[in-house]
Amino acid sequence: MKLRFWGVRGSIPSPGPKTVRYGGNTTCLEIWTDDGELIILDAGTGIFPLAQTLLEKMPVHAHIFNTHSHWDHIQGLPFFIPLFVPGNKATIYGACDPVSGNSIEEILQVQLQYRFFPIRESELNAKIEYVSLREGESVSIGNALVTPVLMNHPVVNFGYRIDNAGKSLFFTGDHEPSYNIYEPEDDEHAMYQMLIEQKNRSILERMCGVDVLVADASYTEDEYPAKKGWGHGTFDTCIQMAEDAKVRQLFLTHHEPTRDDEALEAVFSKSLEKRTIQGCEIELAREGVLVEW
Amino acid sequence: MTAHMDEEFHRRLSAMVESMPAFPESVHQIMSMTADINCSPKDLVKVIESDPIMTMKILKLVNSAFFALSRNVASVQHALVYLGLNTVKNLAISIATVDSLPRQSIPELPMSAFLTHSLATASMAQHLAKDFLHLQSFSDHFVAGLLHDFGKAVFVQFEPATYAMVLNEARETQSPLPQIEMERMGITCAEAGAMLAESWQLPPALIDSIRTHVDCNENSSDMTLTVAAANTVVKAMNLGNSGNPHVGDFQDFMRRRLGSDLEGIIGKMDALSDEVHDMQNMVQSAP
Ligand SMILES: [Zn+2]
Ligand SMILES: [Zn+2]
Repeated sequence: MKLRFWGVRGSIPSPGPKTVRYGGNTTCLEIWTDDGELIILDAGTGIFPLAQTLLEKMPVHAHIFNTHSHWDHIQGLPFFIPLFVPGNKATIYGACDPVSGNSIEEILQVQLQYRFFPIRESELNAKIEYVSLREGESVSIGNALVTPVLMNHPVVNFGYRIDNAGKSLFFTGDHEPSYNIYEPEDDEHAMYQMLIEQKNRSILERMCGVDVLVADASYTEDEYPAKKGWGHGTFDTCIQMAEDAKVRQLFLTHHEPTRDDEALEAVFSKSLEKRTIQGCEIELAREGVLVEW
Repeated sequence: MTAHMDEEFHRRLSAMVESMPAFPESVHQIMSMTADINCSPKDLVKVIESDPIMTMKILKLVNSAFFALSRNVASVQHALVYLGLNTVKNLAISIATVDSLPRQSIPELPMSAFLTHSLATASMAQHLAKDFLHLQSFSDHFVAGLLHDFGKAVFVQFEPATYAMVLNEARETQSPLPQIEMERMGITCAEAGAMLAESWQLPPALIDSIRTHVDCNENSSDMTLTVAAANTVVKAMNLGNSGNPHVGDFQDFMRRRLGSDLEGIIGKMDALSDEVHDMQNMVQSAP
């Protein structure tokens, strides 16, 4: 399996000299399976430079999995050049919105409205298909199996596990571990804690033993209290999760747009100092980096 | 009822429930609470679960097949952990603002008395699960108590005249309500509620307790037991009105399984009527 990071920034693109090492594009991961299928996780602005590299490989069939509908995870989709070229195929997967009942197609079509984007959907010449996924329902892409896992974010967010020829990867999308809404002295505290643990267990089971975990580590522990409920994890929660799930290699991503390269490395090394067990390799996700295993 | 009629009736009921109105005060509370971005999740749970209609609609959505393969979300708290706080908040808002039918009310079963009965049964079932059976998942029992008579709310809303007649006949002849429901409507409210819950893929234990709380026995599930016993206890305490003139007996096996007799339970529940009153204030202003 091959993984390349094309966007590792959270919330808003952050180009400039101070983010040049880790990159300023928002979330996009390119994966090639061992049998040559192309899987793209999220279509943040990183999908645009990725698209440039696909031009020479056309015609392509891109399987694009959307973790959730927030802007930083879909913004690059209308600029995915292969969509305009006849002969290409794109299959776009994602969750329905349980509140409105909208399918992934209806959710994503909003950004293709003419007032936001000057090309009409009918002008997209590639063959485009949309697939609304249900939690736990795997889809086959060649020999690979992609399984959506419900994480915790202000909107429904699917993490994805990809299994292919004995190799595996899990991407959380945006995820904040659930927290107890009750105080320890409340009657409901223990019951709610049990529900949280049940949910965490089911996430860990799905994540268990993957070779590569890519996880949302937006905040430091110090920043977190002010951002509780915003739907993102911390360096420490990601490291803990990786240890618990016994993953081989962890990439921390969704870097804060205000955190420059130097600050990012500083908070990262601080969080590494606190580690008590040394189970897995940990790195900051960096734009352009290729991981092959 | 023939299989065909059964299906037809079922489809009609299910479609009508979509437009069933939530209680006005819970709608009001949801709207004012959620206007505050920092609204307390605990309070949100409280408002949702003091309204059987809103609770049912949320469970229906969370368990629906279009979203997930599993179907095991049995309480509002579980919905919160499963889907996330904001999504549940948005669901509650969308339920509160959906175009709904005007609420029907019949003097034979005023909705305020029905609500009191549902809330009291919910609270009592939760107490029984928590303090007598020592179960950790007591919120599921609250919801089971809250929804055990959901079928009645549906009948009042969609067949008010017929159901008023049924309630009158049960009262005048002092007959068990399910018997008259069968004779006049061809289906009991327990069965109608269970069928709806089934078609919405609610958790099997919840469906079972809605269906079988009317003939709870030695072998019933814990959830059926807590709901049936709670039903009996709150009737004995004269809390609200379920429309059924027959107060089921507090039977021997209930005493055995709960480890207490009726008096023992009532003795520990002096706070119940205040609790119910508080909850009721959340969903309904003056009766
Ligand atoms: Zn994001
Ligand atoms: Zn997001």
